[in-house]
Amino acid sequence: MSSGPATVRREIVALLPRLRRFARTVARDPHDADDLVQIAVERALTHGDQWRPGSPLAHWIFGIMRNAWIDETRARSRRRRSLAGDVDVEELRDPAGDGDADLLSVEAAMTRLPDEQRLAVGLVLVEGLSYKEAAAVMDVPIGTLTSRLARGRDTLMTLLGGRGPTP
Amino acid sequence: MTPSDETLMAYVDGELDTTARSEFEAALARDPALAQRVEAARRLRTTLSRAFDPVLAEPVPERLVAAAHGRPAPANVQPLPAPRAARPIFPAARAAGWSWPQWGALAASLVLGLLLGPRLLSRPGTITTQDGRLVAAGSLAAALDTQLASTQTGSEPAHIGVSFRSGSGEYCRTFDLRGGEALAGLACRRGGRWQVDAVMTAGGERSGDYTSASGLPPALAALVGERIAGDALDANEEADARARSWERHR
Repeated sequence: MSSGPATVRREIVALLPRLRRFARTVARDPHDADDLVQIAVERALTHGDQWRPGSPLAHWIFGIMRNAWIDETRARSRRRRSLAGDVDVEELRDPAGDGDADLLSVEAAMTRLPDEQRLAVGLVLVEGLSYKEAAAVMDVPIGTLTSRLARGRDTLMTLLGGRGPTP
Repeated sequence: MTPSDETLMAYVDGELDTTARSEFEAALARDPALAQRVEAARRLRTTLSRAFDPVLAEPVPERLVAAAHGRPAPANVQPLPAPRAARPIFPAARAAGWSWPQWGALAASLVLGLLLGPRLLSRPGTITTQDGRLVAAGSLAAALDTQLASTQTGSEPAHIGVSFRSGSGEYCRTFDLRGGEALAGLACRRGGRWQVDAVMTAGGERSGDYTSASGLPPALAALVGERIAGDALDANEEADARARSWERHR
């Protein structure tokens, strides 16, 4: 394993709280989220040469986390076919959110979104990236990013009752 | 003209240039319904921040700091590496240069050395080491040899969960040990013995959120998902495998 420069390591240490916050928007389970951070940090140190200085280190690691998460999601869908049950099953049974009494927690609502929409929401609405930056992290055109963000946002506003009173 | 949804979103996200922003704000001033939608979109941002920003103030787990320094997790990381130590959840761990056997051995020795030692001592003889590897012994080995998942009564000291064949053709079986704190693990038939590739605490008081619908702790279910080739063995296949002493197909 190549060892990244000490400064990169220090920067990564400083970024850990933010990486954890982003991971929490992606993986609902806090331990899964920390696993995601750990994997991303390990990969970042191994592939430090792929980081283009000038672009924010955090964004590059967000991209690594996104890829790791997509890998994980694929593995999960394989497992779903091969095993009787899955961790997420209970969450899918949450109430539908069509009345005040059924409103979901923010975390539960986030898990209802497809991965790519949740990533867009996490990057832009939680991490505060610009559309351009978020599109770069997700490796998609800006139009794709904004449409995922729009759909994710609509779903969340519906689930969380964020639309306010209907005129 | 009413601004489009995209424009509204871009406005709330600070993505409009000066001209577009002025136009939007002019529309906003004369359209209360638009103002209300902007308000709702802003409220969502606030709601999300309130939900996720507290993570920034949490203490960062030592294992993450260690990872950032390129070190393995320090020995004083306590409670949670156990279920996570098997860390099969992210196949990426291997892409980064770790083969599964390394992870397995590391995970198992970490788990045993740091966390499970005292717990295993309370059930002596179920897992032992041979040539530096963890191997099932005693009642666990007997259960892995003879018990069929389909005919268990539930009173056995070791319970078999899922039996399957791995990509390399080995037979593997998940197990859990009852009595005292529940331990769960994965053993694979290799070299004429059951090597224990992963062992973890199976929940205890947190079994509610640590047990998946398949009855396996999520980390173990993840590991099975990574290793399994095809489907889990059904009752007949399991009996056939037992009749062959769990030796792999040629």
